Amino acid sequence: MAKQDLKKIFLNGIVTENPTFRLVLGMCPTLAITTSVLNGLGMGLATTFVLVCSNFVISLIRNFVPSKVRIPAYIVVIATFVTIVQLLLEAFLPSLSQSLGLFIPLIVVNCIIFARAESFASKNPPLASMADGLGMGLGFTISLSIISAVRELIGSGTLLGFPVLGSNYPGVLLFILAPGGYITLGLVMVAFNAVMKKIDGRRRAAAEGSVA
Amino acid sequence: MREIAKVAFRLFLIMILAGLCLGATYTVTKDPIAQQELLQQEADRRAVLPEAATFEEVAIEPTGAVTACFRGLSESGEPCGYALSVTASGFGGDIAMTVGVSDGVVTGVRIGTHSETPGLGAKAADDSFLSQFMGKGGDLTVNKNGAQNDSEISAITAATITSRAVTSAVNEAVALAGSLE
Repeated sequence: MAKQDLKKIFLNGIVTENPTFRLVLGMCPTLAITTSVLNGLGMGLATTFVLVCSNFVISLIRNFVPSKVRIPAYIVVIATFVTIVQLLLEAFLPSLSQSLGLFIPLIVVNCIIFARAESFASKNPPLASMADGLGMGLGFTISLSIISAVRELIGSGTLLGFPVLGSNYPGVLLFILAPGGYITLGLVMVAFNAVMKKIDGRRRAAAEGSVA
Repeated sequence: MREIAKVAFRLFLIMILAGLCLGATYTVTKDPIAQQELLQQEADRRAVLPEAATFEEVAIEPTGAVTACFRGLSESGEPCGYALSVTASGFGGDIAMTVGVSDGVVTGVRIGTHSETPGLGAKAADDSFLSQFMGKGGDLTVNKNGAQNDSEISAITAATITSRAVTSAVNEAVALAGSLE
């Protein structure tokens, strides 16, 4: 596998096929946990870890798993990794486990992980699958961070727990509650896709220009 | 038939391997997790009853929300209050709390594991809410419009159920500690 291909696979997850804004996957955790930047970041990184591991293992066993039972097989692999991560965090990083505790079991039902297993890891060699997992995971982390930054700033006037808008800022409760999650998600998605369209258009124009 | 046997066997193998991995991780992490929990409980007791140097467990009837009770002993060995483990039923499930009581007033409240809504009920674990209990005792009630007097607690905005659950658990702890003295 050439280096350039790995880089392309990696960037694919962050920009071109960003799981939240382009593939629109994993909406349940996205809406549920983006109330503060710390939560968004933690959930994103924990998901990235599980995604890289599960993509690697599923890619290794891709020729062994009969296609009829691939879904239970993948779910077992993913759930095993999530449980291992949870146990290890509890035993050796109790403070991180305390702040993330609630979200770790949620990773099992994150459809990004399953979607990547099905559409990428089951068809590609291990190294490429890990690059895909890392790209998709970081893409998810970045998206969650952006959404949670907007919600935390408007909803409670803080960023990463530090008061940014002054201690007298009353906070807009709507943005902490679920409807604020939908509104923010929609607006950020529009912005992301508008920027992408512009970049795409410019790239295409440049390509045409060089041909002519 | 053969096909089914092959598929079943391969799935079986994957399950066995996953089970073995889980079992191994569980064995390795079991003791450290139990130890972390003990350390955490000890630290919580110290935080809610800072006067105490050591703790001894007091046998109580396992009724109501209080699950365990420890008598705090000062450095000279004098009893100086109680630290109680209390389980409140919150909005999203059980809330594990530790409450310190001395002479009928609350000396500190700590919230351990809980599943309250992040950004709303989860704020119950913040100092700004819990510090209200300090030095109060008797039958505390929650007021949504802010505490008006010493027997009232200001509710957390949009988390009245959580506020009430925590407050009633503190009340139970104070009552139980009072019955022991």
